[in-house]
Amino acid sequence: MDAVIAAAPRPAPQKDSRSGIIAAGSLVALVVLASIAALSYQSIVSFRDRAKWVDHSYEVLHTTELIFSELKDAETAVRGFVITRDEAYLDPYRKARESIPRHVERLLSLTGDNPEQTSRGKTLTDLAQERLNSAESTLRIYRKGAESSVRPEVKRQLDSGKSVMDEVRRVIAEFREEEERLLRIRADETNRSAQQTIAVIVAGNVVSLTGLALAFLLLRRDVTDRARAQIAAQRLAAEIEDLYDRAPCGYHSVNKDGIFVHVNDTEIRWLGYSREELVGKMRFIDIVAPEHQNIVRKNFPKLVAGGTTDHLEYDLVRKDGSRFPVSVSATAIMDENGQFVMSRTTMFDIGDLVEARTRILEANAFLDTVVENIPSMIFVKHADTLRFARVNRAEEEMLGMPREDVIGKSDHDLFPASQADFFTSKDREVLAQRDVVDIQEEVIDTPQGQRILHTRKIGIRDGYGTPQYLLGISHDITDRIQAEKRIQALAADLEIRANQLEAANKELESFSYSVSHDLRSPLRAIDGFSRLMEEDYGNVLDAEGNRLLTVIRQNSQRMGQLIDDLLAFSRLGRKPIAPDRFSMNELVAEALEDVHAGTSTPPKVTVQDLPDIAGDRVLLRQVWINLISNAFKYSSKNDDAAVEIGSLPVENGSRVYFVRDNGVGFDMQYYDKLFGVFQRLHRIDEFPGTGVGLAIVQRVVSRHGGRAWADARLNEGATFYFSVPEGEMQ
Amino acid sequence: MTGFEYVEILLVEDNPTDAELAIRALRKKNLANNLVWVRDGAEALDFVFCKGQYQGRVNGTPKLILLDLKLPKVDGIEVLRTIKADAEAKSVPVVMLTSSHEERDIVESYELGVNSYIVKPVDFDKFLDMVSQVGLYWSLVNKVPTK
Repeated sequence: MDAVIAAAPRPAPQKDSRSGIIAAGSLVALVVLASIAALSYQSIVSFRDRAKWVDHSYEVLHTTELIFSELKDAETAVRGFVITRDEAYLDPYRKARESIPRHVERLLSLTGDNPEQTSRGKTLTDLAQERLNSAESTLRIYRKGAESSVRPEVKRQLDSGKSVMDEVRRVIAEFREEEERLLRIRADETNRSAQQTIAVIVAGNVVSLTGLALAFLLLRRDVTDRARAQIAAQRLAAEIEDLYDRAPCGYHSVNKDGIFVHVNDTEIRWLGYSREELVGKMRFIDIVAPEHQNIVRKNFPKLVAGGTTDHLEYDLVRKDGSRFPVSVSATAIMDENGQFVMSRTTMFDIGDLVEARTRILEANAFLDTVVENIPSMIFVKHADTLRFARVNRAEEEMLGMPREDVIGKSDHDLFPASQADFFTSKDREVLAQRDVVDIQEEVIDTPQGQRILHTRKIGIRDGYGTPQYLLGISHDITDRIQAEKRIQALAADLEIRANQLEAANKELESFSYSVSHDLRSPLRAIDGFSRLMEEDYGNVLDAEGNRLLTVIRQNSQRMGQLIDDLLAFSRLGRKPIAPDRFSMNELVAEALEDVHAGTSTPPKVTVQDLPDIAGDRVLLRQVWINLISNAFKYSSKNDDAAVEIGSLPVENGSRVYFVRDNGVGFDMQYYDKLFGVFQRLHRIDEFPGTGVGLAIVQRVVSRHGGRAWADARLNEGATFYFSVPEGEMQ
Repeated sequence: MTGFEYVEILLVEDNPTDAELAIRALRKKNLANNLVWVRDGAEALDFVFCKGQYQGRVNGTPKLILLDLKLPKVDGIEVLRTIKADAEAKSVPVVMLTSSHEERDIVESYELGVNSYIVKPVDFDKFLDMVSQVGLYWSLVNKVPTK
């Protein structure tokens, strides 16, 4: 992957000046070293030359010494011979004669450059020759053998040899002096030159070493920097490689044939192929779903031409054949000639995105279904323009127009100005106060006439709290309002009726009062005055007259009884029930006592143990009295009259009590008359009564929530039952 | 109506036949000699408080008032209330003598301080008996504070 990694970073600009310094320092050092080398060479050459001259001087001195020495040897040899006459002493002389010319020649060649020394050389050569010649002459004299005779000549010869030798000594001394002087001069020069050279070399070396040291230091620093930069570059490269491979997106490059060149680990993981299977072998299009390959085919040439492709979406097929959706973007990498090298392609697995998109679509579809089918009207307006953005089917129906005619319109386009003003003012209120606004009743004109809506308006805001839409949900409450109005009218009517009823009740009450008070007065007058007539005129009336007065009194008294019973009955309807718990056994005992008091021949009475019940004690006492007195009355003609009082088990939540007698009973075919007011099944001369007793029983029991009924057979007795619900009364 | 005699009983009754029967019943026991009969509530109050036509009468406070409930002008309850609200008159025994069985009338009368409540029976014999008993008891047996 190194091929796709960015180039190593360039050195920073400051390093240019540093390398300049290094180069300059190195150059200076080199120049200095070259100069030192040249100077050294020159010094050495001149030193060698001077040394040669020193040698030369020494050789000159040596040669002169040799000549002088040979001459001395030759003289000594001659003297030896002269003394001994032994030829053997002459060997050094012969050797000198042979070598001195050679030495002289050498000396002359050596001193050829110095005219002074050359002339001294010649002088020395001449002197040497002269001496040798003198020695030869001496020898020749002695050989002739005349010793005593030759003595003067030899003496002359010896004297002249001594002066020659002195001359030789003097010349050699001059020679030596001259050469030593030269030698001294040369030694001084050499010394001075050597010192200068040393100084130059030392100084030059110091300079060049300094320059080199500086250059070395800078170079070393430069090298360190470079090494550091290289490490950094390597680290960066590794980092980039890591990023490349582990990026949450897929990266790859393909060449102009579409064949994989690089691919990162992420993409490899997605695809299920190995890098070896892909790189250099497979084309990218090979992993694209067949039906999507045309997308790649269409866009790849653009890429090769140097273009880019952005967010192309298609499915890829993994090695195992499964598919996943991706979003792919690519740029082209071109070489310096503008030729396509490879792509740099990025891809995202958009599986989650596609799924989320699908979910959103499903959720939207669901919401749409709800919105469109809800019986409430729903509308959405743009928050800024307050123009309709959406309406549902119920809204269309209410407005009587399709949504195409509504969307984009404002309230003022659709409704009368006063209504539209109201709607928009509420809209602005909602958008301003960030709250739901509930409009209990708003009037709206529709093609179906004026309707009344209950509307709730809500602002829909984006993530920053800026209102985007205004949502309205309306309920057509026209029918309800109308129904409410009807109910109100009915309630008002009911109240009137209740008042009327109350008035009627009051009237009835005062009527009852009047009956009670006013009807009894005339009766009392009839009875009273009949009695007075009886008292005052009974003696003048015959038996029939007195009987008629008695009939008048009986009927007026009966009328009075009827009125009393009727009033008692009507009072029951008005008297509120006062429920209480009490002992039923005690109550029945009291009732029996009351009934016994008005009876001359009571029947045999059996009373069971009676369970208690909650009820109005006073009213229930009347029930027992009425039933027991009936039982007594209708069994009174039976010699074995027997009355049984008892109760039955609770049934349907009610307690049932009964009073049974073995009296005359009645025919069940008249049963429906039994509990009616003033209804009687027996003649008054058979059994007295007003026909109100059982009606009172019925009314009291029904006001307790129970009922009364009877079972009887003519001449075989009757059983009267009444039930009272268990538990507390209302 | 001797006018200046001491009044034993004040009968307040609008119905003349009832009044006649009552007076007859009382007479049988000799209780009707000093009886004044007035026919409505207003007249009754005038009598008790010596006002109107009875201004300046001198025959004293009655020993017993027999009061009907249902009366013209001012009804019996109102008469009772006025008498029992008066510091002097309240000690006079007032017996309701009425046809009304109404519980509320009974309760109200007792709340106002009635001394007895009698329902007139239709049967004259019973009526006679009752009235004479009442007259005897309240005018002869009962004691009232002396002034």
